[in-house]
Amino acid sequence: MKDTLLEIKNVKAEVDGKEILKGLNLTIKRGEIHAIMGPNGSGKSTLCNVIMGNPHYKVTNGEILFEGEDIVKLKVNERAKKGIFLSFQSPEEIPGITVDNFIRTSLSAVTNKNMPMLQFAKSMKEKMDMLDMKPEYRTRYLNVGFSGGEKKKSEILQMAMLNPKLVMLDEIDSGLDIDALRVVAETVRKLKTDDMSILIITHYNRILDYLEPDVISVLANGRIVKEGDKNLAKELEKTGYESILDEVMS
Amino acid sequence: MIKSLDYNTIQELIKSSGSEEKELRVKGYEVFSKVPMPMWKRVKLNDVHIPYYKEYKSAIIKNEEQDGLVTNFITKALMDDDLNSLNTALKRNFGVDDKFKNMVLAFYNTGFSIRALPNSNIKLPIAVNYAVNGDDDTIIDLNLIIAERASNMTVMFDYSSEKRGFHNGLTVVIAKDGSNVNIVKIQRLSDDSSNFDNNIIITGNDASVRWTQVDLGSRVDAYDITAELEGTGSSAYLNSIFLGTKNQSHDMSYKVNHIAPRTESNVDVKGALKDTSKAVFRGNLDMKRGAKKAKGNESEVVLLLDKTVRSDAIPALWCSEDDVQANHSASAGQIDENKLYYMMSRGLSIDEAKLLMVEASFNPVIDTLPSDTMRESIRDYIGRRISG
Amino acid sequence: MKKTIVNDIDFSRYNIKNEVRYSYKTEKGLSKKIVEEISERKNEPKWMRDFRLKSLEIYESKPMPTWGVDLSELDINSIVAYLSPDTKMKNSWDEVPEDIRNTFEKLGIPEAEKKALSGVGAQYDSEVVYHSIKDNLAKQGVIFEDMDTALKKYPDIIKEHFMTKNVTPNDHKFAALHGAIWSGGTFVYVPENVKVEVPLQAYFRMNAPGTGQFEHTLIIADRGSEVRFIEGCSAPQYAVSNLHAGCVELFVKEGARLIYSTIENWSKNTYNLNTKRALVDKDGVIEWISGSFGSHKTMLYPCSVLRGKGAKSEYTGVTFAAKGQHLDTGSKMIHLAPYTSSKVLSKSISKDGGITNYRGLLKIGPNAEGAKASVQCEGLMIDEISRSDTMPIIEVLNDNVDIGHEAKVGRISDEQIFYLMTRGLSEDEARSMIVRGFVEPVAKSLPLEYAVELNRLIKLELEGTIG
Repeated sequence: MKDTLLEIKNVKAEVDGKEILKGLNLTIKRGEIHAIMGPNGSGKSTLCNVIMGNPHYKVTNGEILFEGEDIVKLKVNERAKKGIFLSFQSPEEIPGITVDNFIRTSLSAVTNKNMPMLQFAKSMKEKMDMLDMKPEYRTRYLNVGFSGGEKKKSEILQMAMLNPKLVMLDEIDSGLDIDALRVVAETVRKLKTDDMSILIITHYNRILDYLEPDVISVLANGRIVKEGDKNLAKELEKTGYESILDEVMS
Repeated sequence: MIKSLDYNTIQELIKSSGSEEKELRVKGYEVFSKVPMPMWKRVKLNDVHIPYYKEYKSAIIKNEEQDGLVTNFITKALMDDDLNSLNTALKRNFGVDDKFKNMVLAFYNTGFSIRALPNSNIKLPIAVNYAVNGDDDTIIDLNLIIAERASNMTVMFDYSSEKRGFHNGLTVVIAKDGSNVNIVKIQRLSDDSSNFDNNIIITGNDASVRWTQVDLGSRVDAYDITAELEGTGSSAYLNSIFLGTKNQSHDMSYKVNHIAPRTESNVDVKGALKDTSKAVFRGNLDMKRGAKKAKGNESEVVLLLDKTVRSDAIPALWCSEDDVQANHSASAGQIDENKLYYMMSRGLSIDEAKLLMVEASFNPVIDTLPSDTMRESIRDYIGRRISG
Repeated sequence: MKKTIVNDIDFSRYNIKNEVRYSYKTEKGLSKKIVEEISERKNEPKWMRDFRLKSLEIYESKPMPTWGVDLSELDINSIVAYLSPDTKMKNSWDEVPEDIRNTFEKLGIPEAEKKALSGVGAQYDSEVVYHSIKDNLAKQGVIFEDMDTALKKYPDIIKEHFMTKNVTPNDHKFAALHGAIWSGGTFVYVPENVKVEVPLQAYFRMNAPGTGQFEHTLIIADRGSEVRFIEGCSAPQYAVSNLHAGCVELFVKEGARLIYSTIENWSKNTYNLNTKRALVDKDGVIEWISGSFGSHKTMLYPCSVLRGKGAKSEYTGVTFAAKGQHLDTGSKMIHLAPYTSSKVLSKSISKDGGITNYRGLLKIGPNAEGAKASVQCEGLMIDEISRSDTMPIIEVLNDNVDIGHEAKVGRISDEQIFYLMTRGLSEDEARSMIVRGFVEPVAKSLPLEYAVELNRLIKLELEGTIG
């Protein structure tokens, strides 16, 4: 049996004084693909932000163990260095900093060493080819003027270069047409090693056709209310969230 | 022997010089001696010492031998033509202050006259370096740049020092009909230096001047760039970055006078302030009556990196012609926390993320500098100042 | 072909000239004797008389301002500082002398009082001639008095607040002038948690030529209260200069909200050199709404001192300068406490050689952590002989702030006119519509009657020069 990568114990978290996570428990094993599904406003994005350590989200209770160590007090960049990666739902635009410059800076911050120029260029080319990204994107300002799909690809490119242990894909399927979604999802699948875990946050099933989850958890009202295998998604599609919520609440 | 900035020194300076130089220095001295030392409200001049007169021999010019280009040391000989051009420019209102402007005219100790002949295309950027070098610590430069009809050229000035120095300069740029002129000024004098710079641009029909100001050094720094858009269809694009660290004070003034129809201007200033540094941005966009279809823009964005900084802005807009488009904007604040979070999620520390955001703000300007080594050295310099 | 816009009012509404009947007036100019006369005639306590004399000293020691509008033609020595109409203050319009009542009727004041106001004060030259407040407000402890009566009825409150900690005679020359020869005006006190739903109004009318009006407005909105105050000003057109140098002092206590609206339409021989300031405590809100149409020259910069945590200020102003007018207006926002916020929206229109100048100060002090401020200025030039200038000063002494300033100036584009004309409007109608749209953000923050008044004034100002 594989060991545990991430364990969340009874976490409560609030945003602007409003409690969003209300005692959430979740375990992700090393190498596992884990999907979190749930209705709008259930706390899915909050969960990602809490794991990543967004200072805007305040953890008021519980532990987040990453490889056995509680990371609640760690800064965002310290978590990134430990191998946690978040693909943002709407990535920030940084005018004035090229994609190349940003990824190089980030890579040397995370790995504590500078990758030789040639090796970096080769690696970038390889990953960009996989993502069907044109080489000129390297010299464009980060995410500036990128379409929704291009922004998502730019996130996956960063993931590919940083090679994290835990990848969180926050609504990676939103704003992507079906072809782009396939390219993105297949790239993630190809990049996935046995040591990499993936946490997929999604509202729909589409992405799960390309990235088959080992575990599906349903998040509602700030707690995980149901856990199952990939068939749970099919069930949800048929019956909707209400029936599950009714079943859990009753 | 110590030479004060007084009449005796003037007498000595003009003893063996031609009538043009005499005229210039004597007229300058008349005003200089009458005007009191200014008392500024926003940037205090207490720490500035008025220097003694000294020779300055460390000026270097590169790429001065190109077809269509005529350059001269202005201290060797002031030509009749040069004096006429200077006088045309000196009629206008410009400069940080009359005291400093006339100090240059009376006591200039270095400078170049650079002239691109009609229809010439000067390919290589002309680089002028004024560095504080040993005893050469007082730079009072008078520069005259004339782009004759339909010529193109780039001139790059670099003021630098490792130790305390004094710089007060005056630069006149005359861009005649159809010419294109690129000016770059880099100021990275040491933390205890004083810097004053008085600049004027005059444009002919369809002439275009692009000015990049990289203002990084000095304890007390005040400069003014005035553009007189006199030629129909002429333009001035003034891009600037500034950085304040420690107890630096920058006072930056931009004046654009739209005089002729269809003139265009853009003033774009980006800055960052750290520690107890201070900055004053003065923007004056003046749409004069008759400047029909003119377009003017002025914007300033300042990143505030510490609680103890001070940032003032006075972006004035004057308009007496209705058929124009004029805008200005100014903003100041901390770096967007969502952007910081995003960068930190990619492994950068908060300081690294801030530095990167400052670079991000400065890069569009640094990218336009004409030499690779210059770009690298400016980026290094900024990185050192922010981290140190 | 030129269509004529039908005007439903004409300018004579503002231009009624009554025979000047007075019970008392001072000599022209300014002297210790005149100041003493005013104080004596008003039967004031000694401290007020001393205050007036001290203010006169300060006035004499201060130089004329050298910035702003040109004041070289303003001759204080030819202005009558105090002129008392031949009537006592009344609480019923029926008792107000007929010609004065007619003037206010033409200005629509008694009518508005019936329909839409909680209380009205009407000042005619130097004295208030009519004052009334609805019973229900008086019962809740709301005080709405003319200033001279307030000085007698509430001497302690007035002594504590009158030009002591808000505006002081030391602030500038015209504040000192005001301190020396103020007369009339309004005192409002709204007790804790009382919400005055319907606005209070003061109307200031100058009738006599060559006089000055120096009314004093003092409003204290106590903790958690709400009140809306409207002031209107007008005067008939004379060949000699009139001077208006009023003073408005507002105290907005914790959690209170005060909306202060002004529609100023002084005649074009008036110098309007007014001082207005609000001190705003924790979570208090001051909103300034300001329409400046009249006067020969104006210098007016309502100031908000945000001294309590979370205090807020909004300034919404429209300035319209036509021939012979130079209107120098703006706002000052002084942030002294954490999480204070301010917002400025200024619209100015200049035509026929008129000059507008937005002059503003935005200051964020070292303790104003988390302050937010935005300033937006727009200038519209109707022709090519006018001027529209913008001069904001921004001073930031804190890093944890979010501030922005934007300004633009331009004219009505031919494309806009063309587009509207393709939809059937005449050129005049199109222009008028665009100007109305331009001032809409201000008009919509005024009560309906005043928004109508604003649009009337714009129509009046635009008429005749267009086409």
